[in-house]
Amino acid sequence: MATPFPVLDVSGVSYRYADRLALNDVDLRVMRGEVFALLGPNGAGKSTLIRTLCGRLKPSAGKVEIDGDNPAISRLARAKVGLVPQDIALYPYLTVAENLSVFGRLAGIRGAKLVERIRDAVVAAGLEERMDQRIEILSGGYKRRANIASALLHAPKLLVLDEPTVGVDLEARNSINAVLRSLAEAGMSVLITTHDLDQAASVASKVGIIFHGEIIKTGAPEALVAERFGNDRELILVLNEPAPPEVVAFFYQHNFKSLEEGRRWRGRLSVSDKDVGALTDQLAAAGAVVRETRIRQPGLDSLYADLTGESEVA
Amino acid sequence: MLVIAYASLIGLLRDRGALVMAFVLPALIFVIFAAVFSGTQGDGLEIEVVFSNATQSDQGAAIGLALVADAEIRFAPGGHPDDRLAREAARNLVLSGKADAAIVVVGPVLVLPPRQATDPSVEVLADDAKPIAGALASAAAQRALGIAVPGSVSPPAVQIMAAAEGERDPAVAYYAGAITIMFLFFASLQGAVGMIEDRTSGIIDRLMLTRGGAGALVAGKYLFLTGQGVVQALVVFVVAWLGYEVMFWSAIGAFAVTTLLAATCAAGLAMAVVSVSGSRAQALATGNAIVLVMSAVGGSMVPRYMMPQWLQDLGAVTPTGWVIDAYQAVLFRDVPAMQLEQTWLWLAGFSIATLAFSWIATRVKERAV
Repeated sequence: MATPFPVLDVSGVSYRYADRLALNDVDLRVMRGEVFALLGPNGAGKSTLIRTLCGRLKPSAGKVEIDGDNPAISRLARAKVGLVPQDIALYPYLTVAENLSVFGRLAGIRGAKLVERIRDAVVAAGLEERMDQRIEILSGGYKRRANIASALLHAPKLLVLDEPTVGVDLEARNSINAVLRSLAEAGMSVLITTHDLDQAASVASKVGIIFHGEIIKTGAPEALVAERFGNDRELILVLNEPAPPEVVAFFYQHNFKSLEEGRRWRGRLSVSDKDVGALTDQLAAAGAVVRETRIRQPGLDSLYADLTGESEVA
Repeated sequence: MLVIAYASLIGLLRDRGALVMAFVLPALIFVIFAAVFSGTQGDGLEIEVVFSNATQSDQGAAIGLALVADAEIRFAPGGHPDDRLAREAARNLVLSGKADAAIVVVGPVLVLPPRQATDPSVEVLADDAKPIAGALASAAAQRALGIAVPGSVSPPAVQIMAAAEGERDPAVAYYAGAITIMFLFFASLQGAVGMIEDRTSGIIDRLMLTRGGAGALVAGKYLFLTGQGVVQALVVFVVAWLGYEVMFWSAIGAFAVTTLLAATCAAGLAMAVVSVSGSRAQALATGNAIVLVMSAVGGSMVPRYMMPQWLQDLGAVTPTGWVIDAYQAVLFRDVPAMQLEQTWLWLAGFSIATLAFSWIATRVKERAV
């Protein structure tokens, strides 16, 4: 059986700014119909990687291919990418329909084909009832959808979304996730950078964690979590006050990590629940008052915190 | 309260654009206006005249020599007494704007008792667009008469006449052009700063993936600003026509070319400023400073002939100066289109240079992000 051909193929890519290495030997593949979530803190290299995929930056080493073409030198390759910037990259005083018409024409689409593409993009983004409304009066969720629709007009093979759910409410986030899932089901490849680990877990078939310019882990979310934690569960302890030095030492001795200025601690639990009581007793004896104890199955956020030492993705 | 004042002070000190607008620009504009108005009130205002001894008399030659010795006037090229201009040729030099006034000896200079009426001996053909120049040339002619024919000086001996025929109001025509170009620059700047929002919102990122790239944005914006400028100029001139009978359509071809080039100049300059600015505030501060200085020096606020020579020379190489001169030539002086070629070439060159600069700067900036 032939190996599936990746729509996005990043192989050994490095990029150096004058004073620092922003990407270091990055490998990344996104297959047809796959949603790939790229997670990483500020300065990890996400934006540099996106600019490289869009042909804005030429890698210092390695290669980027979009459906077999290099976006740094091929206009054809760049035309296969639909970019959804983090901000609303639309004209606020124009309606949804007018914006789509403008961006469609800029993408070189005209006449009946443009009408058809606008209709398809509007349906895909669930904007049918907002066509004649100005962008400036739309809710945050609909603005995000229109932002996505504008990137679909030229029927890209790869849709790249930079933080598509930043600043939107839960309902809007769910609707955007639904849009992304339906696009992937229709065969489009989707790459998102997100700070929203829940979104990544719910929408992505594969995630990559980028840290200091390197992809340190990549794979299906469940598989990565299972590989990292096995049958262990996660224990989160919330203290009344920041832990004193002797309690901090105790936590580190038991492989806990601080989540919030020494008040919240995350650790792994591979023993029975009874041991939790013993642990909290030991903490009390060391002078810490535990306000809340949570035991749960580790998730993508646990994996992310474990690998990067950060509790939130920036 | 003091904390807010302190924070505001720090903010101001760290905002170079605001610093320039607050402290440098007012001082600079003051220096320009001080130079203009100190020149008009003292002995500093020099005018350029042409001389014609139409009677070809010895008295006329003596008047010419007296004018040559007068330190407060200069002769425009081709207008020195040695050039022996005919009256009509002298008049044409004034009409074309090459001289501020013509001093023409038209009759014998008689020594008469005071208050006795006589035909004028000397005509001063003044450029209607430069009323002060007529008065200054008349004063110079009176002095020359007093030296060349002692005892002859009485006001009727020198008569100031308009060089141009007809009822056109040169001041209105002048300011229609002067105000148009100033506001074309301001409006273009305001329109061009939208490119900064296009950059920060990601619209340019999106366009970079399309066939046109950032070039489409630059070209589209330029086209829009040029169209906006043309309409803006038309509105001003229609009002000038309806209210003050400025017949801009009487030389519609030359007017159209001048207006189009004025609009492309304004669009190009605005986009060049925006393309190298990092923020909206920076673009507006820089652009406003440039436009204000250029308007003051180029003659949008005070006619250039009232300025000291060094400021006139400076103003003559600004787009504002070129546009005002071109409109003056078209609307008031009836200069043939062929003679406007050089001014139009300067305007076209400036437009192309600023457009190319903004296109390159945008590309470099977007590639380097």
